[in-house]
Amino acid sequence: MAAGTLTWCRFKDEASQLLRHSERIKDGWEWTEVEVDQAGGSFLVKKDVVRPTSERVCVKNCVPLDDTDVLDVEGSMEEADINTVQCEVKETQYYRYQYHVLYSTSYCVPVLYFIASRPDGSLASLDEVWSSVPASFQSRLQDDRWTFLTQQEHPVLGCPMFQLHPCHTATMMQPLMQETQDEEMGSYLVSWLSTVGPVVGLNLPLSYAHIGHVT
Amino acid sequence: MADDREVLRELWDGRLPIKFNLAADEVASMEHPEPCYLLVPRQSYFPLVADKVQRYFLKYTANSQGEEMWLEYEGQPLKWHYPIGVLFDLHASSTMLPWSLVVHFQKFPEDELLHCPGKDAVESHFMSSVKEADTLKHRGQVINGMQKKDHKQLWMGLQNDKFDQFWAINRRLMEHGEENCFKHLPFRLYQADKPCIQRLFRPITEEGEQRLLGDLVREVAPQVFNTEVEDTSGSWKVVIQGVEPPMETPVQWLSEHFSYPDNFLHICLVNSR
Repeated sequence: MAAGTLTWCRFKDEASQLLRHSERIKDGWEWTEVEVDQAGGSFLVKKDVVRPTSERVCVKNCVPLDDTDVLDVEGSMEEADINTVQCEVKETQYYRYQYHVLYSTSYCVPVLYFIASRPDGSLASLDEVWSSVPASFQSRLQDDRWTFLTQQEHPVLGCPMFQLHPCHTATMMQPLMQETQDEEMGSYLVSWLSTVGPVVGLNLPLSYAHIGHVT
Repeated sequence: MADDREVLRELWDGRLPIKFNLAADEVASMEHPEPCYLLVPRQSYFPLVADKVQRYFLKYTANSQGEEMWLEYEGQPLKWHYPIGVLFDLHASSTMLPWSLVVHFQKFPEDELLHCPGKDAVESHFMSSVKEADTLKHRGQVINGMQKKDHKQLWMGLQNDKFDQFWAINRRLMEHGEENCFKHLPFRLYQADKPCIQRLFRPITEEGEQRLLGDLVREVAPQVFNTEVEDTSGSWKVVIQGVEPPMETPVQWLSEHFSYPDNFLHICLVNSR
């Protein structure tokens, strides 16, 4: 295999390991088979990951408390009207994410796809999703924005999803694979997912780090 | 190397006459707009050619808050990221010309169509396909060995309809180096109402024999040959670039000559009933 890549067989084996561990810690990963026996025709899915996405600034009318800790509303209604202040309150919106990990037969690497639904069920836009990428990644990825995180058709299901582009994955994984012996490396999938996942809000608990190690 | 250059030029120059009509329920003006007619390149993408259409119809609609235009043919939303020729062959190959499309600005079908924020998105999608095709053909060595300005030249050649400018770079992507063929064939096979199929397929057998279009179709879409007589006079047509190539055509030749500018062979399976 070319440096930094993995075979479909290894992808499947490591996905099984990941699923077993996920089951143990109730992390919610599932295996979906659509094109049975086709390389790339089955994939990992994790649904219902709720995370804060955009923060809206709302203006609310607040009544300031006086010296006593308790606001006496009954007695001082009029006073309350006069004394209301407008406060800016950050309201966090929670979006529901769904992540798919597929195998690319073209690049021989795993690829991460995801969608985000707003509270009303509609799909979030690329701009909304982009704004939830941690700031530290945003500045680094700004130049490559159009190539790194884009909307694509899911290769098996055909529906629109966001994709982290796979063309740099092998380059990213290669030094990691070179530095460790095969039996020490453990799971390619876990190393890869723990690196790219956080960019789009997918975090792997640390306990995944030990799967696939030969003891 | 593509020797049959006349074929390349003919395909590049292929045009489709299209009649655009604003969706009747989106007309907000007193006057119903006349249809808009355009002759568009088969090799291009709708967001690159439909600016005029958008400007023309927007003023007849209720709002112009930057709603994204989308196109529909007989109830089928059209995917802007497919080349125009592919959309026609897949959905309308037996229709009378001009090809009649409906223009929408409302109720964008989120679950079916990708958004197109602008020409940058088309360029990004196009270059992504070119890179993937080269990864399949040459392990990415040709595309990665090019400079950014060469990538830009490919895109500008397509956008500005400049055959020579495009092919000055593209011919390098069509060379097969020391081997007699590409490592794998970049192709996508389409059927209406199904996700497209993409598989690894080698253009030659282990014994070094050329593999043919019939071999590819038999492997990826065996239902085409599932008739009593093994030929394509059954209910399916295999259409590439608007024509039905013979099943005996070597896929290597097809890849070099019948690919779209994104370097993919887009194959449409159409019901001929």
